[in-house]
Amino acid sequence: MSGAWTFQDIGKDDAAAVGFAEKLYGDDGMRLDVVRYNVGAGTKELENGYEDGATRATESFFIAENYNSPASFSDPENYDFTRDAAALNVLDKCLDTGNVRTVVLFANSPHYLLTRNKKGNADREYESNLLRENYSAFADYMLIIADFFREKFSALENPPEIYISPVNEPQWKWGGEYATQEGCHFEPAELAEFYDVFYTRLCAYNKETGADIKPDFFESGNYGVTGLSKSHFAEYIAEFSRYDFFSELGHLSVHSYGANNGRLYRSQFNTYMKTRLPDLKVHMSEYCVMQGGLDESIDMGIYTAGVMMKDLTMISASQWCWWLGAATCGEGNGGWYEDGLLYYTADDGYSFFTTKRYFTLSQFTRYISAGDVRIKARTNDINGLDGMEVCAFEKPDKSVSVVLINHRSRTRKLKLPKGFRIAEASVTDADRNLADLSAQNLKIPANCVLSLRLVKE
Amino acid sequence: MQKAKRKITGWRRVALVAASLVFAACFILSAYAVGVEFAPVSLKIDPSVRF
Repeated sequence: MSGAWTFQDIGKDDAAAVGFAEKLYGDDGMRLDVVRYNVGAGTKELENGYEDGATRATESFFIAENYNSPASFSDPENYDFTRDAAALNVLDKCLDTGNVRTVVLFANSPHYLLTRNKKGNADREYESNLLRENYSAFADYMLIIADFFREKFSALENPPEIYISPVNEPQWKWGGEYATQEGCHFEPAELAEFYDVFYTRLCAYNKETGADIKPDFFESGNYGVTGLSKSHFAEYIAEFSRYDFFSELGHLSVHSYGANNGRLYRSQFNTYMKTRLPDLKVHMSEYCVMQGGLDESIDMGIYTAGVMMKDLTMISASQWCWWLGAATCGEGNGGWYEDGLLYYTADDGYSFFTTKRYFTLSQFTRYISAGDVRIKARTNDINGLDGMEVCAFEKPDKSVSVVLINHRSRTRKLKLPKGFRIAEASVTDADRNLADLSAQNLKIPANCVLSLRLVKE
Repeated sequence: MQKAKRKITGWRRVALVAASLVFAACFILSAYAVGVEFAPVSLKIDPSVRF
């Protein structure tokens, strides 16, 4: 999940930051292991007019008063790492759980002083706001900030690995009068050229410092690969492949917007990746349900679990991140929105609450841990036509963690694979949240997400 | 005197077979709709196929 926007609010209150971190990263919570830290463009210093601007505008470590030219961004003396203190506080609390293995430093827009119009969005839709002559300065901006985090993490017993994602959803318009958050559009050729500059700088930094910071490219707004897709995914890939950096990448990061609970879309993407880019892993780095309101029913929980299940099994996503770690009711953006893992109100102290989504997604982390390997799993329900979906992961001790989704409103009998018995079982359905089940005569409850840990008999 | 058996042939036979199939399908679907389970969910895993 990402810390965009609300880290800088929650982190003002120490108890709230601890509560947040425990619910998402703690051993008694979801046990997540990836934090996406938003490296802001500094738009809190501007009259940006974002809806819900109190939280969507961001604080930057760069000291704008020291700015003389883009070269100012290459001088570490021009940074103040006591800034963004609330967001850093939440990150610290997440790290304190001991479960964070990866921190992704992601930017939605370059720092506003590096942009064409000195804002967090372009004046016009579909216009890149990063001046070409500032590509190096923006790369240095991200690397100096990454260096701060690397130093900070070096004091930890198990420092998390660091990824830098300087560009987010480059396909979308992001600019114009109605922009509601920081963002920056890049045409495919522009982005490839920027990535080449950035990657060269990153390699030089790693060589000089002995670090192993990795790039996280390209946070594609979706992964539609047909000619009809507005994301122009294949065009971006074609431009990247003209540069050496592309052959060095270990993964591509994509977002599941548009894919939702569909199968054809994923099948097309999987075929594309297998045939053209078989050596690249896939990270699903952002998803939320794009609709207003707050559906607290099991239906929404199962819907979201279905998205994650299909990303794991159909496009072999090796990392899966929900969008906002916590969301609140924005005054300017129409109220509640289906984008939070947690929700909170801050009217009378910070108070967190959950929806079924929190629990259905927790069913995946109940028995599956980082390092487990996904193995082939299926049921006699071909292609989920009868409402069953399944994935399975093998642990180093050869036990197998299984997650089953039953989309039907009927209880189902379960026949286990030969040679296995249930060691543990847990379920979330309309009436229960992460409830332990007896392994004896276990049935699959109606409309549920069920987790099993199987051991050999 | 024994009455001669009447043979069902041609389109009547086709119609009869089709009606029987429709009846059988409706019966199975109705049973399914009211909750009769024809087979348990059979889980298969193959640890030798790794992703």
